[in-house]
Amino acid sequence: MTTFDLNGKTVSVQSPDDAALLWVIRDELGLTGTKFGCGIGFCGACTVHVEGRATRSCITPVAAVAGAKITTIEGLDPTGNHPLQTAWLELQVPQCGYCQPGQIMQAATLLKDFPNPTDQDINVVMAGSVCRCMTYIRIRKAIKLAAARMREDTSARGRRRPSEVSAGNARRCRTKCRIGAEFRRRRAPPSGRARASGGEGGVGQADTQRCRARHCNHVRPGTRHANMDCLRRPRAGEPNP
Amino acid sequence: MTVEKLSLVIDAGTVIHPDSAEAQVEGAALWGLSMALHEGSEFVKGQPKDTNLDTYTLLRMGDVPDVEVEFLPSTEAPVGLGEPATTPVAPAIGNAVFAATGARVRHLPIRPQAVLAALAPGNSLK
Repeated sequence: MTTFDLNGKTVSVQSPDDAALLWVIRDELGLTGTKFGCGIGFCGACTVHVEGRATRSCITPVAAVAGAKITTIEGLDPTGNHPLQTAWLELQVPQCGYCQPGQIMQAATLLKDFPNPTDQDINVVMAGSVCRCMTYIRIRKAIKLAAARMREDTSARGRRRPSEVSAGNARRCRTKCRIGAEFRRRRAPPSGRARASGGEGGVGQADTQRCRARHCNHVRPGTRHANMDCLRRPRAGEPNP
Repeated sequence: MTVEKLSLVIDAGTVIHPDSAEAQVEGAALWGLSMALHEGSEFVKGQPKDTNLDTYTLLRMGDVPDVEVEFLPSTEAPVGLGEPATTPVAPAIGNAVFAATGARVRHLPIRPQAVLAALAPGNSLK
């Protein structure tokens, strides 16, 4: 039995430990907003948030999320009015719609990391989410629309402190893995200590490590993610992250 | 090989829902681009070579060029526009490759290797 938090409610499931989180969510818990696409983490249709990070639920064993906070498209916003969801509706993004819950969940973490995303940020973070109807143009537009509204909203409420803005990079990785912690440390805003511990070279190294940690699904522009290395299966003989 | 911009002009008769029509044409054109440059597979001993997205490469967010869509004003009966924008994209790219390099490529997807092979000495460019 595995217990975790799903959309704010504690749930216990009977599925075997190695069952994919996707099927636990869909079949055992009955939330069908999360979709099955490729089953190998290459299409993004099954994207959910694990502790706030976009995660491919089709390749995540349920035992790996014991005690974690999971959010699905059903729980992204209690009323279904997340700025991304309203932007999606307004711009009529979906065609067949199958990939869209995954696209929105991925975009939600994109906006957490990059409140004002550039085209390059969008290209890199959304690279793992496939849309067969090719709605990419509207996905990009909707992300930018939602981002603009979320920034307005945040500045209107005065919740965003200058320190949060400058520490944006440092806040990106919230996973608990060791590599995540390392990434966080190296990406911290330049301070005497950070500079002494490796500077830019260190950042590059951390990026590479980070990107290979497939379970974290972390992405940054200019890293190996652009080549999809972080999403591919390890070849024979390669260490499995 | 990179496509920087796709410009599409469509005569679909009376356009009933312009926004939806534009979405259809955008999607169709990118599908055409995906087939022209990114996709393609083959059969090996009777079996499909690519059975999932780890080896089958299709167009993703970062491959999307600027797309410009224009509908001809018309009062004719409305006709389909879901697929027509797919088919002309690959020929247009093939012609662009010919105009730029002199290499005629006649198979999809158009890979850089195919262009280089067409340019190799001894190959007829026509």
